[in-house]
Amino acid sequence: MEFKILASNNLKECLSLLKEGCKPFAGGTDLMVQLERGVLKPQTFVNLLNIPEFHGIQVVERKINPAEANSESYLRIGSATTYSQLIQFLQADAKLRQAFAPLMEASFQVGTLAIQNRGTVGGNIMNASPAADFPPALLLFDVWVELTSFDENHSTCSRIVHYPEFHVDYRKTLAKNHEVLTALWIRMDSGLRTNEKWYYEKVGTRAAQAISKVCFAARMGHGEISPRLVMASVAPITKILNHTQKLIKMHRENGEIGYSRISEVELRNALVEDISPKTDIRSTAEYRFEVAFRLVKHFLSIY
Amino acid sequence: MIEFQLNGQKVKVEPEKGMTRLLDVIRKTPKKDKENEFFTGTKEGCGEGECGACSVLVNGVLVNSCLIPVLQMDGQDVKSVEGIVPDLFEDTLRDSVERIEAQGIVNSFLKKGGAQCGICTPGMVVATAALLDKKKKLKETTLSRDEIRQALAGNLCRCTGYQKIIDSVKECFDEYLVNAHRVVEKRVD
Repeated sequence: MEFKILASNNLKECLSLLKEGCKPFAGGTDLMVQLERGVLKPQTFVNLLNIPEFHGIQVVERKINPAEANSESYLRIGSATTYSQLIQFLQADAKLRQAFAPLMEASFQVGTLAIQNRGTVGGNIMNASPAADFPPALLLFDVWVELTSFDENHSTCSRIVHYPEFHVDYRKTLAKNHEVLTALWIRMDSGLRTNEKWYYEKVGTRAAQAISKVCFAARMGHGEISPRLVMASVAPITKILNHTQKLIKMHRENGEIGYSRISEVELRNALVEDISPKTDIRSTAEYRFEVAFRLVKHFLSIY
Repeated sequence: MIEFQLNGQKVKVEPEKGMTRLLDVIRKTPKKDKENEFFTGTKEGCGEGECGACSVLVNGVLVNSCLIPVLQMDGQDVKSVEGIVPDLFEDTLRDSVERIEAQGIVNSFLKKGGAQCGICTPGMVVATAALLDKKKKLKETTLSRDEIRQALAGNLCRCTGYQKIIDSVKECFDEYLVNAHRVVEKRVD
């Protein structure tokens, strides 16, 4: 058997091919590298780039969160949106650019211009590498992922999953076989407030393009807004640093103004609970932990 | 049948061969009216999208051709280095702004020593063309060395140390883009 790729320009046909066992192929910036390295078994792909439902960025009023009574404003980002398209969209609107600045920064850092022009936000999520650059930025906001498939009655059906729950283990997501990611839904209200500070730093061997040794995204504001700290490449999945967040919140509730009040020991102990970096071809576990610690410390110092 | 435009020529590929890399299709495409010449300007440096030697423009957008299955090029407009910097002896472009601009990139690289072994040069030229197009669209008249570094960050060079490549791009922008129309006016009388 050989590698093949099939064309498709409508959703139903695409879903039908996926149900028959074809694998989705979007920007291809990771799949083609896997192919080159010989780690993929010969299989048939279906090209997602000509399906209209996977494209476009719009603001949509919708009821998504089952816990909410009313519909809300969401930013719907088609899964085949490239990083360049997302950058262009955000650059064109000052309010959105300010509210979702970390998404723009992540898009620039994901790779070189040539990669930004082909790589898709859906691909980064579904490829589910623990080193993926977009998820840490995404997890700063309230994000839902829309999965679509063909059911037994040959009807198109979609379901929505809350993104923080989507990644379950190393390269494993809650997506079922034959399901394809159609769009991301970001609640507009979860954007950065004007007094919030944010941080996105990817540590790697080459500024323009690298698989990260550590990638860290964070946001923090005043009042009731909880700090959100997220890290990639330090666990089998992208990690929300729950213990570290709790520590920061606790110090804030004690009325402490500067985060220099958090001792190094306290911070290291919280981080140990949150991350489990490994040694691999890119870095040692000890180096990753030290970089992770310094990134969080740097973020706290600039707040 | 997969059909697309390459440097103004129509290229056809059997659908069964859809997973063939765009890079390989380009390098095996013969030039129209030129026996035994193929579009081999586009190079394979790494095959992983890291080095940029395979850079081409698809609908004016900079991409790595080693990462694209040719099926995804159906109906698209692809320009590789030969299509961006046409034959310098092409008479039809004589004394036009387009010729001066196209020549500009090559002339600047020659003038400023932006090439040594030349293997990265086609990719550098394509990335430069993408940058110049962007500057033209935005109607910007200044270009910093930092901007050039950003625009060419996807292209690796093992010979030059990059400084002369940056000099070449800066020279091209300063001399030709801004002054091109003046040169044409002069030649007409």
